[in-house]
Amino acid sequence: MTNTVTGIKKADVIFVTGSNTTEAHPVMGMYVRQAKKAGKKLIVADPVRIPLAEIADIYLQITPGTSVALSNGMLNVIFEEGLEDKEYIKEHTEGIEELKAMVKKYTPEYAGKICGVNPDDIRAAARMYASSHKSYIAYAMGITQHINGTDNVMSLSNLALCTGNFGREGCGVNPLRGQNNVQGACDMGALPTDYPAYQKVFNPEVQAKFEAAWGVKLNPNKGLTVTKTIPAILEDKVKVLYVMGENPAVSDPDSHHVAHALEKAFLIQQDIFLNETSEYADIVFPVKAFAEKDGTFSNTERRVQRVRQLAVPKGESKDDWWIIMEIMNRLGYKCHYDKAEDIFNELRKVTPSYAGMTYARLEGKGLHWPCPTEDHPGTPILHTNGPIRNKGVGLLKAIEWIESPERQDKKYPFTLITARILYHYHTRTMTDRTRAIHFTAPRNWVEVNKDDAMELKLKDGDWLKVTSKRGSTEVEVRVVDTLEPGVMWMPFHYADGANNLSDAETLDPVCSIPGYKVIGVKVEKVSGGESKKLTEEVNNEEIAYYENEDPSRIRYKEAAAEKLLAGKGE
Amino acid sequence: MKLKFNGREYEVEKGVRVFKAAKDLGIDIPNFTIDENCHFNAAFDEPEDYEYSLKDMSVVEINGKLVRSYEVEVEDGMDIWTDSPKCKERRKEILGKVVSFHPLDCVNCVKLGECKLQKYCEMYGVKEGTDKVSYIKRPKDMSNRFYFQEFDKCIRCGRCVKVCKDKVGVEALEMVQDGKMRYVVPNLDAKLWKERIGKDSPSGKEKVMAIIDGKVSMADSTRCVSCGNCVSVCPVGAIMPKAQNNFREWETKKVVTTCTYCGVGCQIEYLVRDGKIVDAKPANGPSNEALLCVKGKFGYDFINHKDRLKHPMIRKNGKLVESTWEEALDLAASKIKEARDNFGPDSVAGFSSARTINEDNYLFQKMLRAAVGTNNVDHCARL
Ligand code: SF4
Ligand code: SF4
Ligand code: SF4
Ligand code: FES
Repeated sequence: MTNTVTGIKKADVIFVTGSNTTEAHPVMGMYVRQAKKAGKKLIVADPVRIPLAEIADIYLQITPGTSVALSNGMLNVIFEEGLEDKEYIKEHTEGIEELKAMVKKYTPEYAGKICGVNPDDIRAAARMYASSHKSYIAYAMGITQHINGTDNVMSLSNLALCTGNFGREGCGVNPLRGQNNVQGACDMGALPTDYPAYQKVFNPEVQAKFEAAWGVKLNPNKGLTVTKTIPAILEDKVKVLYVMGENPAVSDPDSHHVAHALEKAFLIQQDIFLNETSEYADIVFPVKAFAEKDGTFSNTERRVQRVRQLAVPKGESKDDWWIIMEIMNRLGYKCHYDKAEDIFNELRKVTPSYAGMTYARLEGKGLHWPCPTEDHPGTPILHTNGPIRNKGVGLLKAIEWIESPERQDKKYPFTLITARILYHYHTRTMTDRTRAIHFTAPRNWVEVNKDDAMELKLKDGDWLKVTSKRGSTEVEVRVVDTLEPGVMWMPFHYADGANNLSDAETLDPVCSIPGYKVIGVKVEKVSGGESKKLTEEVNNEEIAYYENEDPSRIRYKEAAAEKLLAGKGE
Repeated sequence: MKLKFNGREYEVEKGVRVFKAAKDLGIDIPNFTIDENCHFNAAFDEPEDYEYSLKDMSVVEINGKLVRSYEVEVEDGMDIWTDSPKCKERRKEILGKVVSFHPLDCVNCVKLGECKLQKYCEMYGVKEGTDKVSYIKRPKDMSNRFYFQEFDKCIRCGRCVKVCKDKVGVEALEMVQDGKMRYVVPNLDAKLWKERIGKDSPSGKEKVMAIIDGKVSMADSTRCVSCGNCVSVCPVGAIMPKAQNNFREWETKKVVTTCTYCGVGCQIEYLVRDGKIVDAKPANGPSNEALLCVKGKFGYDFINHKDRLKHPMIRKNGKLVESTWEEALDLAASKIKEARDNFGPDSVAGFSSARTINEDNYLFQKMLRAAVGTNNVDHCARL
């Protein structure tokens, strides 16, 4: 994020797109609601009528995969009506003429047709967004998980640059990171092209620096991304796969493909539970959970905060780093660390943005990177002196909208969107073990627009076979009025669900993200009756759980009893 | 500016209220309505003529006069007494009234040790109620999966309603009045009331009665997102987590750490007993301002789950079986070495983790780059 999480409250205009904030980043969602109550303006653009759409000043229910067209349409209005920040553009950007020329054709009418929204709403959104120097864009995977995800992000950044919405409190372009430490994993160089702090592996100077720091010769060739590793295994190029704390069998696109690959490679896994991926693992190392270890996480606003040990580790489980250290030594690379802090003190020497941080300094409120020296206060807001790329000049990129091939195949007439829900987290290995969460959202479902449902003769609790080019899954139906006709929605947390359907082959050309948000599917009603049985099963499981499995939790028992009395089921 | 608290001189900032100034100096002024981090004060939502008003709990004596400490700003040379006999008297009066409608069953209450009512009653020697209060008794509402409400213990401070409305922003609770007494009830849509009791804007009493009759419950609230912030702010045992873990606050150690779920990075204070987490509360972190969501507040059961892996495992004859660390580490290293030496370093690949700490991520990529010699390292950020 270029700005802070709570900074959203300082904005005059909040533009939320491709983020169901109240579900995926709930506390951030609370801030949006607080801001709205304080009289701030809210624009929401999302194919799903998310809860924030209900309180938005302007809601644009765009067709999945059309964000670029929307941004271009808004820019068209901004230029037509002279709402841009001419001074900022002159001082801090490059490429304005090309951009202007390109968005000419994206009149609100043209963009509105692509996005499936009223042209006047695009006009109103553009005016509202451009009306302030405190306009805050918040986006999440609804923007990035597209085959043109990079374009989507760039087009939002165009909007912010042209209106001078960078480098101050309450503005910026702010990706909400889904996982607690995505930011940190990227910062630390868990990327095939980057050493820590985004220093490129193919840059000879950088290579020389790391060779000196680590005392070995390093490989200058770009590595494989997650999505490219799977085919590389199938092509026999990769023989050993080491997976730390992830569950590719569920989280990666096109599950069948992935299963073959995991089966084929020698698979070393490190985790707190056995999961779907473990079925293919040859070695599994038990590790400590976050509550049992010391270390640091970097949150979505680039704030590095302490993780502290508070619980006793289970069995023989070890720190992830301890296992890695042991393997490194066995591979002939001698190293030794006594505690996580030793590693932190090493990494900050090669990670310029973390150089000024120490565990002692992170006490309290943590620090935002970049924090280059030990007396530097950290950097909550980026780009205060103009964008950092290319000496204070931000590149405006003229980006044309492209239609996802998934939407062009008439044999798969529906568009399926996948997303997070409030209660679950990723592949559920953690959340499902909190019983109350398990009982709240025990199994997969698909949401269907009510007109489509009428046509397909579907009602709540019916079952639908959803098929894409890659595979199919059978799920329970929920009829909703939050989707446009032709669009369906499914949570991505469940095994044998959404990822059976998604596409691993067509990836974003720049960063290899699969197009999770736009999946072409066809559907077919399958014989019903099962929903009721499954619901009953879960209810019985819930009651049995409260009664037998955890009798010390007397309150659960009361809850179950009360439930029975009231005759309330799911 | 300079002023005096309880006879001692202090230097304080201009423009703050007496309550906050005292708090910042570590002087606790009793109160029920202000949240621990001074993010809100539910007293402002209390009607002025409310019989069982809690507003005066926070009185202080300034120049012989009692004033509410959150209402007045500090002034140069102020002589403030936070626990003078007059203050004590006033607080005793309020506590006496409140206890008149609060069950005196502290020994059996799970909040014991943390409960503000119990603490103040002990402090001011209040043992029983002073009034005869008639109020509607209510059964526990167990219908939410994460917390339960035992509103007979409710002291009507309004904090839960306030946090839900102003901080969470969903207004799942409301405070209604019947006669002299106020009640917290789920805030339901007119349509639902109509459906359940045939009236779209029932009176306070009708709402409370509908709950007693089992016609509505918290589970009917489509607004509640089970974030548990009402649980965290309740000063007594009226809204409690269902996962009780049967602990007493004084047996626990408190440690603040960062939430392990999403990227907001909320700070959570865990209560730990014998090395096990028994409860979680929002800490006043910079990105969460003393709020949490359902996962942060209630989603910690996985840590002590019986399925946690306890031993290294190796696949033998198609099945994963327990092994020693030596055996598993040696095998992993030899397989990596074999691939590296026979097929080149790029025949090894690793998926690092967006879930684990920076230190693990750093060392993981260093292992692949420095000890194996490949850049085949990535994580699921994109997924
Ligand atoms: S759990 Fe959260 S949303 Fe529900 S009533 Fe409490 S504060 Fe409101
Ligand atoms: S339930 Fe608790 S927080 Fe809510 S009004 Fe009653 S005492 Fe206050
Ligand atoms: S408590 Fe909820 S909002 Fe906060 S970091 Fe955890 S998952 Fe995210
Ligand atoms: S001890 Fe006060 S409400 Fe339980």
